[in-house]
Amino acid sequence: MKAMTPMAITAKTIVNSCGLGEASTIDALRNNCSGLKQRAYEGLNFDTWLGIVDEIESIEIEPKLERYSCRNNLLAQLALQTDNFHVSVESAKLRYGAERVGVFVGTSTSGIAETESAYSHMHHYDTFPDNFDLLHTHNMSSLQSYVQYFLGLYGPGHTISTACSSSAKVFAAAYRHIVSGQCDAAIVGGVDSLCMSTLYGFNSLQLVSKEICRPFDANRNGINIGEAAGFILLEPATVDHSKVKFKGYGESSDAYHMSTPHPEGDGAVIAMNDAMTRASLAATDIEYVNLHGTATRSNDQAEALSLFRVFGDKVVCSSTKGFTGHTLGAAGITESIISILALEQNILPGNLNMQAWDETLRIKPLEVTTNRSVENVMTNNFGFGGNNCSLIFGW
Amino acid sequence: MTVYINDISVIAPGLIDRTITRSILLGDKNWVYQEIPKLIPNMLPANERRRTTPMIRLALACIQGLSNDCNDLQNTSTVFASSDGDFEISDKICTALSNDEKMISPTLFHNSVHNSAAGYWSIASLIKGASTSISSGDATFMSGLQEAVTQAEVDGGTVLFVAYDYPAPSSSPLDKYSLIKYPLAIAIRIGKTAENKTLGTLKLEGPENDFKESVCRNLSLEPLRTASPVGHGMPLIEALVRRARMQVIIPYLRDEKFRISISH
Repeated sequence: MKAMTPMAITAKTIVNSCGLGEASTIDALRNNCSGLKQRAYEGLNFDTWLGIVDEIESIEIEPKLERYSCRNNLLAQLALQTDNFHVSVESAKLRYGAERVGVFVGTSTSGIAETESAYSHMHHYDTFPDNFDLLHTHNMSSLQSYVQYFLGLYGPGHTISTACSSSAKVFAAAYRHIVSGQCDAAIVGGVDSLCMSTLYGFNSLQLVSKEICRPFDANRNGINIGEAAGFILLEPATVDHSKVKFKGYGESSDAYHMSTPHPEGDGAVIAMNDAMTRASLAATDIEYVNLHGTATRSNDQAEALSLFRVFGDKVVCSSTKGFTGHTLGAAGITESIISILALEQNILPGNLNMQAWDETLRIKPLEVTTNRSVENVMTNNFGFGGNNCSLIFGW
Repeated sequence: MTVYINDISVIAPGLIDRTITRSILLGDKNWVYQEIPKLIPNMLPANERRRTTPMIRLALACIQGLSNDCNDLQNTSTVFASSDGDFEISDKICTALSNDEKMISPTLFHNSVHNSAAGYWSIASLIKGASTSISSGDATFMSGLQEAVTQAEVDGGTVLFVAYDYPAPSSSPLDKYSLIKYPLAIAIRIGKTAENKTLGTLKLEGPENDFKESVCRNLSLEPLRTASPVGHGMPLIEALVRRARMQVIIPYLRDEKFRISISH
């Protein structure tokens, strides 16, 4: 396995239930303040906590992109217009040319909420709504195509949809396209918005908690679903050595079960080791791990064991899903940006909501956000189908 | 980027029996529609097999059509590409959610992920390599091939690329909106080194707007080429089977196309 050529993170934007933009997420992390709320959501008939981005309601899609109109693409637009991200993209377009900037994005459900609404419409009126547009909303590629049109980018790209690892794997795809000369820079990102398919789907697996989610807690009993979006501009590190770098990726499969992780975390161990090999770093070089840490019994148990196998029990880590909820296809980008913010802001996020640590896990996450300056961090994301991805960021 | 094409497999209506499929791809016989019989993914344990859908079974059967003499099984990564994923599952979930009870079964939900076929394949093969599942709408075949070639180029090892599209059930309202008329799966095993059954090398050039999309040499295959996003890959499969040095133009994003040069 070849060592990776580091790539610089030259711009980023993040939107989730903690608020719009980096400053909101930093505030939430510093103040140990969750974006999750126990609240009703139209169409939902059970109690849970949700991470909702209320600002979606107040924005409109650009008229020329009307056919892409759905909650997922509106959330994408909200993020692209936050933190001056679209301005940084304009500058990259000038430097490289619009056809030399790739777009690699992840989502698990794209605009399926539109199809859910259409079926509900049909249930009452026997017909789909007139403006239903399968390809530009429901189809997974809607996100990539919308981002490309919105930003005026004509480079290569695709949408990755591997459940909850989707927007972690975009870094590996973008890296490969840049080093093989198919583009000079890339937008990587991910968006997932609330929809009934995932809310009722996870509930059918009895994985949704009625309470606020408590990763690594002895009494943890499931996830809270949150919506989120995030994007990063990735460029060769040679353009700006002062930025945090993307240093390594590891991708693997559990080859075990569709919805339950490998009990010993075999696939996760491969992903973490491959990421370190590509980054030319050893386990002792990783000073913080942002956990997948969903707060289901099985994820946290398997992940803790995989961490123990790679790092031993002294690893500094936390799950930030207590802040944002599980943002599914957007978890990779959300937690990558949180890891990058940790490096930039000299903070290590706390494992919010953990009241009684589950000692059987042996891995003890940081309880509260702590001031500390570190060089290299890892983030883990694991998805249904046994799909794993670990990423390393550092100075 | 140049890689070896080490094996190919295709399944579609009328392209089921290997000998007949070969004759059609060589242009010796005309393609006629013939329904795909029920495919049984013997590679899976019985409990997992029961949970599969026709789309998943199509993708798995196509991969099963590849020879097993790959040098590099454990070092295999996979690229699964499908424009729309599993309409049957979307239809069942959205129908259930439009009723008052909103009951979804756990199997229905875990089959709803775009990487469902990839998940089942890894369970069957026990291969723990990298696995991605993508969509690029109408450009899905070319995007998937590009990602597979790029992975072989940058990360090395063997890359198993499988592209598959499956129509919506005719009873589903989604059928009216879907562009997919026939099921089709294409699997290609790619590597940076040659294997015993290597069909040749493949080089990607582009994308360019000026290239003109290839049609099937065997014109009777045209309905299959135009019946789904994965259909765009049919001229490539034909060229690989015919073993003649040639170029094939495959559509990509927007109006762009890639030129694929094949050497045998």
